[in-house]
Amino acid sequence: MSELAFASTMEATVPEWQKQPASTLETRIVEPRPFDETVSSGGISERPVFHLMMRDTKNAVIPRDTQTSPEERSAKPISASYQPSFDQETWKDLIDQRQKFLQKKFGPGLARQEQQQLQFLEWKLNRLEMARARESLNRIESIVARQEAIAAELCQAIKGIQRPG
Amino acid sequence: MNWLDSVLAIPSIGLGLSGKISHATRLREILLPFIEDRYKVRQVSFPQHSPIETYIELDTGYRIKADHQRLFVEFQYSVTGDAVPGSFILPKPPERQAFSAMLETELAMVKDLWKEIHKNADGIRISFLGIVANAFLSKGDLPPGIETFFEHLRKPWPLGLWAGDGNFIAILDKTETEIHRCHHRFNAPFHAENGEYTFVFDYQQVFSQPTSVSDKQMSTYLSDLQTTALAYYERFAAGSLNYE
Repeated sequence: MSELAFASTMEATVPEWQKQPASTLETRIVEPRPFDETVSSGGISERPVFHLMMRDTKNAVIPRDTQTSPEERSAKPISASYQPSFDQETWKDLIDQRQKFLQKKFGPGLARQEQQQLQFLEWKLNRLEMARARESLNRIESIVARQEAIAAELCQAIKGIQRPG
Repeated sequence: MNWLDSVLAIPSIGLGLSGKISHATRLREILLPFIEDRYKVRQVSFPQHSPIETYIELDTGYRIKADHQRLFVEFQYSVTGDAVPGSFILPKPPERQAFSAMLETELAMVKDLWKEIHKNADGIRISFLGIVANAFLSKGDLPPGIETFFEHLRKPWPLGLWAGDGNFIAILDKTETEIHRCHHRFNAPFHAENGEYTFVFDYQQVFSQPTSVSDKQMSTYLSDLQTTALAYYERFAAGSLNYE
């Protein structure tokens, strides 16, 4: 990627204080250092290394993104569209569990571990409710599509009736 | 409900084998006829770069890999498409399946395969068993425990992290004869608004010595491993590890 192209992709995401003229940017993309790779008895690679994709430049900290292209940055990943199928029994079970935690929260209070459990339950419920909303939206979408098809046919028919006159 | 059912996640199961080269060809002789009889096979191949490996792809999307070091069952979504004018193919998103349903199928397959292997070659020993969960998450879908884990990693840097790419192997339990450990591999594009986070959990029960395992024992080992691995994945995603 050229310096200019790199600078322009950074424009939208880098705060004002981090910006600097393109000419002072390094063009070199630093690759992550190679892993010290060993192989376990099971043939699974063991790479006990944690590396961060963060690179310094001359005067300021300019984070370098060597992993994603600008196109990838603007496109939503497939996982974003994934929602579980809605299951009424699971939903009820989660609601009951949450209710117990909430009663305790406003009674004797929750221990730290229980607070985490409550937060986790709410995350699960949120995912399920999104799935339910999606199902409703899909139904509405198909009704709208049908209505639109009927409207188009009606328009066509009206035009056909009006033309001879 | 396991949290992996509410995100895009794919399971796989691996058995570590004793590692004798002769076992690779033996496995091929045992498994190929059995699999062809039992499942609808889409493709069988012996990769050029690793000729002792047998690679079998089933019609259902499940794949079986076997060599002298391991037997591995995984799932791969296949992308199909509709032909549109101009000789283009418009990809159709695959029908998604729940993690736990796929895991049950894989467990049943591994139990079946091991029964056949043990019946025909009881000299093949097991060095480890593992259950892997590959999760693909978008930024807004991260469970609270994964957020907590990232917050913990961010602590030394007041300006935050741009991205993270890591691989940790944690020891979770240890006895004289076996170790329970979990590989955590992740890729986290913290800066990207629409970035995809990948998180791989690979929970393994590793024996100190390659062990002879009957088909009944294998069934018990796998069921126990399923319980402990899924419980650990839940603990991790709930943020119940000790971050103090």
